[in-house]
Order: sequence, then structure tokens, then C-alpha cells
Amino acid sequence: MTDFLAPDIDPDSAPFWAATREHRLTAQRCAACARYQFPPRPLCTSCHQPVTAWADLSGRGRLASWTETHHVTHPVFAARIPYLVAFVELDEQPGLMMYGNIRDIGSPLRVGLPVQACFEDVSAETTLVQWTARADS
Amino acid sequence: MSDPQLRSLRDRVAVVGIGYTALTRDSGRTPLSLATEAISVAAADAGLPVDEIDGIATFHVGDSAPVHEVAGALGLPGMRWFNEEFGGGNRVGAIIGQAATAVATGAARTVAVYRAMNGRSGKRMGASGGGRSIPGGELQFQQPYGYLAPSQGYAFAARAHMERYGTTAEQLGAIAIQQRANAVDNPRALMRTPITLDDYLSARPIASPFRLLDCCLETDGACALVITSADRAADLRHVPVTIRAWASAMGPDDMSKPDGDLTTSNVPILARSLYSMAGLGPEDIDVAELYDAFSFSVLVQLEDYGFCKKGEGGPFLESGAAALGGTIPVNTHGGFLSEGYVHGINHVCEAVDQLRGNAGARQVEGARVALSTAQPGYLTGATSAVMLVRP
Repeated sequence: MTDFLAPDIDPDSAPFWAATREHRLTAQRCAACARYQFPPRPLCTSCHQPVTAWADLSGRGRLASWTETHHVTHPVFAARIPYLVAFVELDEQPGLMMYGNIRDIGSPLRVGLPVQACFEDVSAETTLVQWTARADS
Repeated sequence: MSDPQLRSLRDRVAVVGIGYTALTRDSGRTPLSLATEAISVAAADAGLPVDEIDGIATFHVGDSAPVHEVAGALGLPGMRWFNEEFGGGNRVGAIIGQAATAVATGAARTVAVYRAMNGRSGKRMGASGGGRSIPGGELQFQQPYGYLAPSQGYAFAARAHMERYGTTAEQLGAIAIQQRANAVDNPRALMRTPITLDDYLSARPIASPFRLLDCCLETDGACALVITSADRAADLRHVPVTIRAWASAMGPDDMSKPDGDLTTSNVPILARSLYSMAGLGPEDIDVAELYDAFSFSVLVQLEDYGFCKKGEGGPFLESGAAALGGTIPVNTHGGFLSEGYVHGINHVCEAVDQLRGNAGARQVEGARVALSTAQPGYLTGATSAVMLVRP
């Protein structure tokens, strides 16, 4: 496996990263108002109840924006340039956003392009969420 | 404070001195030495002895000179008010507002506001500088994917705007070209050779849609302002430039925007308070120094401060409306793209020079109202701005 930049996992985010190890994409979901929330936060930003529950997501989303990065900002990424970073809106809820790299997209990038989460095991402990074109795109 | 209370502070406080060090790529000096020089120059510009300063403030992310060291190095024993705020370019208008409030309420008589850094030879922004300097748990969802630098965050917004409104690379290029043309007449500017659209389009890619000439210049240097009451200003060297209004706002961060829409910044949240305090609107502004860490930041602010309609920033720029001689000249000194990046204090200094009528070949004829802005609220959600007038 190539070198990678490990996420700095904390108690709020540990359930998310544990799920990615099992190739499941998850987000917090408020038990009181049922809103999804990502990134994880201690309280529901909508109804201010403590949030402890996590829900599986479909992994389906749409490309909201992207950037092709050519400038090396960290040595880990030097061998990968240029690489694509995606900003994805998940189908479960408007404004539920995640970042990731775009892999094997196979079609011209555009806002609204349907994408699907996929999982990259970068080490024995860490799995990253990446994005690829959805079959129905 | 209520709106009437804020409005009562209009024009009560003035910027009476501005000071710069040389702007370079490798100062060979400490940020402390840069800070003390800029403040000394600003005090001399005001015609005030340095030891009249009894308040001091800066904001910092990355390289900086702390307020206690700067006050100590200037031999200022009696600081009655000081502030050292964490934050980057979103803080410049806010900290001037806080200094103005301190002066207006009598907490301090004369305040120095400065920003000093070796932004190129010392600590660089982004992971080039050893890790992004914005603390918080959200970086773990960005950095593993190679999203490490502010250029990338702004690139998402620029791309979304291009897709939604048809904004073009040539329109982003117009910003870089026009600001460079302004810098030709600015002896302080790091970059003074005119550039063409071909130069812009052929510059190496950084983070699409941004090329090299869309990005600000990492800079070593310092700038300072000396701020005191309008009453005191009347006796000083220059025609007073008063602080008409300021505003600060913390809106949603990039991951929390309604519908994930990055095409509008958080400026609309801010502009309402700013224009309300000022009793002025975009149509009253003669010159705008707009935070330009990246070209797109200028485009979105022209829309979101109301200089043109939403989505029309590209054609507006292409028409020359923001060039010298246009309806709203922008970044008359060349901005961060061509003068240098001193985190926005240099924008305020240029606004003061314009209102004094001291901007030489860059002078906007008859300028009486200036807007100087901080970053428009991408990344962390925070933004601020200040409006200055020559009464």
C-alpha cells in the first residue's frame, strides 16, 4: 500500500471510521427529529438534542463540485498529482455533504453527476471513502 | 449593540496613520521586527509619537508577532486595551471594528492594528506549511483525500459557480489582468509587469479551475494602522479618514450550507448589517478593496455586496467595470494577487490612501467612500468588512 495521510480520528468520529472498515457509509441520525448529520457533532444542529445514533447511508449521491489538484501541498500526494477531490451531496438529505477522491469516473465531470461511494482499504486499520460514477449515470 | 447604538458610532473614530514595511519573498527578518517597523511608520504617518499608543491588536493564523512582544519591543508600558485574535483573513474588518469600539468607548485612546508575517520564507499557509492551521475535527474528512489548502476550498466554490452561471476562465483571468495593471503603478507591489490573457491561460494549474495567476502571493511583510478618535484626528497630519461602519458575521461553513450551495458566499448575511450601520449602500461606494486570496473571491464579492446581480460577476468583470476608470474600481493597489498578501491590512491601507487622494497614478478621482473586505466566509464561515469615508 502506498503512503497515505491517516484521518485524525476522535471520539465523535470513531463510529464513522469503524463503519468504513466494514465498507459501510454512515452518518449521524438524530433520534428526535430524524435528520442526518455529517460531519459528526455532539448535538443535533436542528433540534439541539444529543446525537449518538448512526445510520447506514445508500452511498448514492451527486457531484456538487470538484477540483483537480496539481500543486503538491503534502509529500504524501506528490506521486498522485493530478488528483481529483470531489464535494458530494448525498441522496439522503439536501445539504448532507462529504469530500473524497473521484475514482474511475469514466464520464465528463459535471455538477449533478450521479456518484456512488466505494471503499479503499489503505491500511489494516484505515479505510477511506472514495467516489465513482454510478451505473445509472 | 442595537442598530441605533451602532449607528451612533459612525465616523466617531478615524484611521490616522498607515504603515508598511517592504513586501518581499524573503525578508531575512523576524515578524517582530516587521511589526515594530510598520507600527512606527504608521505613527509617523499620523504625526503621533509611538508612545501615545495605548491599545494594540492583531489577528493571526500561521506566522505572526504576538501583541505582548510587539508592545514590549516598542517600549509601550501602558496598554489599556489589546486583542490577539485567532483567525485568518476573515478577521480584518472585525478587528478594526473592535478597535474602533475600544476608542469610541474610551477603553483606549490610540490603537495600533497590525499584521506581520513571513508568509513565504517562514510559515506558509496550507500543508506546504506543515499542516492546515485551522483547528477542528473536520479536517479528518478532508486531509486524507488531499484537500489541504485554501486554494482547493475556493476551487470548489469557483467550479460550482462556473457550472451554475456559465462563468468562464477568461472572466476569472480578467481579475488577475486588471489587478496587475493596477500594480504597475504601485511601487510597493511585488508583481508589476503587465500580464495578458495568454499569460493567464498558460500559467501552470494549481487546483482547477485555478491557475497560478488566480492565487495570491505568499509574502513577507507587515502593515499597520493607527486608529484614534475623530476629534483627535482633526489635529493630526492628514485629512481624517473615518470608520463609517463595520460588520462581522459567522455563517455556515462549507459543509453546512443550505443544499451544499457554494455559489453564494456568506457576505449577504454580513452586508445587511454593514450597510445598515453605514446608512450607505453599494451604489455609494467609490472604491472597493476586496479580499482576493483567489480570483474567484473578488467575483463572488462583487455579486454578494450588490455591485452586480447574482450570477453576473463574470460579464461584469469582463466589461471592465471593476478596472480603474470603471464604475467600481477594485483592488487599486493590485491586491493580494499582485501587491502582496498581508492578510487584508494592506487593503485597508490602500483604501485610506485612496480617500486621502494620495494614490498617485492609481487614484480614483474624487473617492469619498471605500469598502475594504475580509474573506467572504468560505471554509470556516466567518467574514467581516469595514467602510471608510472622507467626511
